[in-house]
Amino acid sequence: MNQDEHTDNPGGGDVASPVSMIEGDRLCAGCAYNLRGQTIEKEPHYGLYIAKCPECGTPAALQEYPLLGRWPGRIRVFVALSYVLACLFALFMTFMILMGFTAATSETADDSLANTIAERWAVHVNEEEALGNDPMQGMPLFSQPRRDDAGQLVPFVWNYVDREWWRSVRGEGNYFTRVSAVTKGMKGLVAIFSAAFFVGGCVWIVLLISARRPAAFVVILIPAAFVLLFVWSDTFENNGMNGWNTASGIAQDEIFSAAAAVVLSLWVVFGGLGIVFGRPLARLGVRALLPPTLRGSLAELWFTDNKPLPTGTRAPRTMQPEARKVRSS
Amino acid sequence: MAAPPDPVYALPVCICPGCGLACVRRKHRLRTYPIAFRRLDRSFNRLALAGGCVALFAGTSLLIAVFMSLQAERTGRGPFTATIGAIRSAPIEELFSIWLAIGSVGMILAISGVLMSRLLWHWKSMQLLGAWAGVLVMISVLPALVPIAFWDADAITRDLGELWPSRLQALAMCWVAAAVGVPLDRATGRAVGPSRKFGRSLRWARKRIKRRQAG
Repeated sequence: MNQDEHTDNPGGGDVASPVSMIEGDRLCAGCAYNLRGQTIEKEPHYGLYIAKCPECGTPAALQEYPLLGRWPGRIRVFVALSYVLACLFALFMTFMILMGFTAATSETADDSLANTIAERWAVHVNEEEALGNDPMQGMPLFSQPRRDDAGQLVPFVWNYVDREWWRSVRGEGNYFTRVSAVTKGMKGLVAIFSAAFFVGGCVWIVLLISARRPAAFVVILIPAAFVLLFVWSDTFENNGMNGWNTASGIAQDEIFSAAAAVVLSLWVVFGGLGIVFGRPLARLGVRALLPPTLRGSLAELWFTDNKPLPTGTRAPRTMQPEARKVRSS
Repeated sequence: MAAPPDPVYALPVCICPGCGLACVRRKHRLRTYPIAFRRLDRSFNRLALAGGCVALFAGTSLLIAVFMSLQAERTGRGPFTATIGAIRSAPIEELFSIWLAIGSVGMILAISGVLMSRLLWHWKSMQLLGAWAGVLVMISVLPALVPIAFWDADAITRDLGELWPSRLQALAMCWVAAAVGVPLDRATGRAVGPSRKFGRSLRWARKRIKRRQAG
């Protein structure tokens, strides 16, 4: 079928028949007149639904589908991929931040345990050396343990300690006791981490603008799961030289999992709170900082939670279409 | 499939060779409505600008307040009493420099009030001043985060018990100086409005004349 056949066989008669009315805002392509309220007609030549501009007579077609050119599609794919990459990068950054906070926590909270290890190691070495043994056999040569004038080993957290000896004497400590010790050792960092995690949760819920809160909560658990994977895989265990490590290093290894548990608990609680309150806070910030004339382009913040735009906001739509349908029905 | 403008409507009508359905090809929103992107860009820029400015003004006020409260602490008085005392007890040759220092700080804060009022013009004056007071009260506890992070009980007690009321008083003085700027902007804004509108219409008229001359 060609165009001539179409022209010979007009769609639905020779006279344009009114079908409906334009309900939304639509500008005329010729003179930018708002066609809202204009009659939609089925034109006789092709059977297309069109509305004519009452000002300049330019027809506005309503059956528009095939796109002109391939670039719009490519750009759309590029934008979508950029968004996905941004989300993946944000996931990676969250993971790195959680790992960093865990390391900082173990660094802060390991003092007490490191001192205990150093003191017990000094006692052990001094006793063994008094018996004529050499407990420091196999120690890295570059490490010079700190000794006093009498030649006795002085307790010092940077002295190298035999990890095997520590494993044999440490005993099986209660995990929850360690977690409790870490929480106490963190001191005021708990408050600062909580605030940072709350902000992180707020950023995530705004980044995942179209996601529901439970889905966003699952997303923030992904980097936490990777941190747990690192902890369980014992990546940080057994580092040091030939089974020797500083007392401070051993203490950090010992409490790393407990520190991770504390940090991840804070992330789940305060990140979750950020997920809950993030969008209302973002809306509040936009309302506070942007005048009504500029809020329209950020209307998705309201539409995603089925909320009407604030009064006076200039936007093509004032309510999400689905919500409007529900209200009108 | 090519879609040249049809002879009847001059629209890029595309007819399916299989079923004969006619459609009009359209351009994508990305091409036909770049204005939407520009609006989004403008909104983000404005959001960043307003947020940055508010943070900057709050930070400046906090810095001034911390400095004032530390200075006042040396004399064992509050910042307001210490400032009045400094003016009263100053020798005549130092009076000018003291007023210059106070005037400069006051001027900076008043300008920040003017700029804030200009950026947040959609706020009513009283609401803006109330919200600004709330922001200043909130940021007044920020310096306490340092001793809290180290859990230094003595420093926390000292900061929240002795320095915080003094800092709050200094921030109240900063608030008064910034509050002077808000009505200044609101009063001058009305005068600037018509002149800007006149300038815009003049530019528009010149552009039309140029177009007419160019044919």
